[in-house]
Amino acid sequence: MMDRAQWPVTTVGYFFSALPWRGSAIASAPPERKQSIDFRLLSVQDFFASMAWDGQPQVVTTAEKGRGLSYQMSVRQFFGHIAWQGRPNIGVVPQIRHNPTKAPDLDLSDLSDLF
Amino acid sequence: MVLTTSESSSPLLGYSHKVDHILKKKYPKRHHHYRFSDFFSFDTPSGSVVDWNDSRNIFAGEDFIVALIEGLEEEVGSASSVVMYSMGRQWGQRDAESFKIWFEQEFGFSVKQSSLSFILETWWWPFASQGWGNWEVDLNEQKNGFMFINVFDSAVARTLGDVGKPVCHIYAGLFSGFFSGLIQKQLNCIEIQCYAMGETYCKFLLGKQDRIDAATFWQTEGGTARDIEKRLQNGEYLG
Repeated sequence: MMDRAQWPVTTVGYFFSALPWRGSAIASAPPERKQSIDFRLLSVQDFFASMAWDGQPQVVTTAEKGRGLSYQMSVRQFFGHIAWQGRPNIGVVPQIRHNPTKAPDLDLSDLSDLF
Repeated sequence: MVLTTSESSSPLLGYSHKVDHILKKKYPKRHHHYRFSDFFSFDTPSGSVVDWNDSRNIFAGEDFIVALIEGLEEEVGSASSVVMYSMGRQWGQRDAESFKIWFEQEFGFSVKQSSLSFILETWWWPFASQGWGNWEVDLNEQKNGFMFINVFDSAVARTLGDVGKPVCHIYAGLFSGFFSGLIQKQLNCIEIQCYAMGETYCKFLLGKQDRIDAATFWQTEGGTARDIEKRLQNGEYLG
């Protein structure tokens, strides 16, 4: 039985031919398939590029391209991969400067010491 | 203006029946209870009003204030201000004791474990609900051994209008009594600026006897609140 993750990179012909119409699974691998990859790990571009538009699937993995977006990344990594104006610098928290002029809260003994 | 007793059942008023605060009985842990309809509980059958802290309250109008002050002046002359101050002082001393109790009952920790700003806010909120006006405590002069308390919309001054002299002696007594009881030190208070002198708010000076005596003298000599403030900041006292 075909893995659900392979559906987007499978030709229509193979998809239907792989179904167990006679009650028995077809054991043969899909033609010209290089490797299996979960489509959810692909970027949008890679996802659509890997579709078998002409019946010849071209699987491009994130690892092959050396970069790409994946929903398995952390939020920081995901947005960090996007070249925002060429300077990816997302989620940087500004340093809070300590204000030494703020007086500490007084208590009753402080009031008593006042007089 | 609302006058209170320390207990809801006061034999002084010939009143022995304990009246429960209906909302407090239902929500004993509620803290935001200073709205008029929440803070007071009206017991119509007995004709009594208790507040959230189980004190019995008497509502008094401007006629009462005028009658009280003019009646005292009629009886004791210029010493009426001293009488009003003494009334306020005794009231403040007793209120300091009851405040410590209800503060701990409501919040589960004592005043000694609390921050000063929280103590002061908690103490004055009932007075604000009772119509004594809003206040502001100025601790900027703490290093000089005194502090200022500003009262906005004083019930006494608002009632008497522009009479050209300080009139909120009961407030001064209240502050001296309360703070003396709170920190267990003898403190005095004087009103150095009053709404009844044409100012926008009343200003009280709280400190030890020597500073208050000096301020009283300077005020008698015609010194303004700003003059007194400057002299105290410069460390001037009576020799």
